[in-house]
Amino acid sequence: MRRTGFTLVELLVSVTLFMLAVGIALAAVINSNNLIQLSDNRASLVDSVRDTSERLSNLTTGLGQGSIDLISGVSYANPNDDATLSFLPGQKSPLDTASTGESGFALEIRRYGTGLQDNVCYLIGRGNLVEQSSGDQVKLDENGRSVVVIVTALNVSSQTPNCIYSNLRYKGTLSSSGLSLVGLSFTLGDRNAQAAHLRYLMQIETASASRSETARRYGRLEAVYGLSVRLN
Amino acid sequence: MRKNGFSLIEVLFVAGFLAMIGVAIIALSAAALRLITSAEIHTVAHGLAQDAVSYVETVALPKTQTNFFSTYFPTCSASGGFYNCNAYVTCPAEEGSLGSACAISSSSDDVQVGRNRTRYTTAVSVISTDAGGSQVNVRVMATTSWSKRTADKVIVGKIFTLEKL
Repeated sequence: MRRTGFTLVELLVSVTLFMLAVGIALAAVINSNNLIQLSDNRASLVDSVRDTSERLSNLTTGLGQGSIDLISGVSYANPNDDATLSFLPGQKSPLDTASTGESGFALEIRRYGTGLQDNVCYLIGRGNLVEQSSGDQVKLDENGRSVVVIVTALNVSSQTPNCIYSNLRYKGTLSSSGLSLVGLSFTLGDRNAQAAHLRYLMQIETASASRSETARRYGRLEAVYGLSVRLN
Repeated sequence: MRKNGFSLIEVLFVAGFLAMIGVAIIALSAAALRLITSAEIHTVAHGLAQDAVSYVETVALPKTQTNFFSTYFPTCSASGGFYNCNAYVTCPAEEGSLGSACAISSSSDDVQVGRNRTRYTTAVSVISTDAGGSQVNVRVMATTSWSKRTADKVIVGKIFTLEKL
């Protein structure tokens, strides 16, 4: 009698080959998704680092003497109120008198305009964005996970111009949501009578950077930038 | 007689087909990872080149043309009262921290930034040209490279003004 159908061995071989082909295809799809995610994250990291650098470069162009301070310590008497912001003693150094190697996690930049309304203070540095029902809070914090910007009015009527923290003009973050700032430090590399070499290091990682070894490897970006800040 | 099993040609064809799929997937993944790494390398190199340009500008500003070029660049060619110098700028950086101040030297020194093991070297070309009156334009071009391939580099430039003397 003629035997019909497949033998057990033929079936096993064909099923194994089929499973192998499906496995390879599945791995390719998963891998492609991971690569797209990594690529997307990397683009956000690069954008965020370059955007921050560009804004800092614009803000520090054309500054006058005594217009920029390095901040290494800050406190809030009331965390929900900007007016209570103060700098810890000795932890706010004017860049034009700071010594080489001095560092901080934020900058206070005072810019002068043609009218009173155009005199403003920029606080840029490490901080946190806290979402609240009454409106988002942005605070400077040396362990913060975002690059924050706080813009306030600048009082130029006194001998030494000072920022009026209660007169808030703008609050926001420079780094994209979904990214986490791991490090941001400003260091004075060199200084002379006319200019200061302000260097800063930024480390940003994606929220998924802790998920796998590949995500850890490709999910973090560290870059060093420098700015020549005119002091007079 | 009925033939049992696959022929050698059939087995080789299927095995070759599966191997080709595997190799293609691995090649695609490697290319994508290279692209992702390349974006990181270019960003870091751009930062280092910009850092070098800002350092040269900072140290040059309180100087005149003569004492800037003669102090910082031991070997320059000068023609018609203007200078053309080449050197290396090394701005140290370690993972997670900035090193000490930058330095201009005639020999190259490489630095590593972040977890990527790529090492970067920054060369600067500084030339002065007449800006009219008592001033000269100084053009700084910083080139950060990370391999011997000519395409593996990022160039950042800036022009500022110094007094002739």
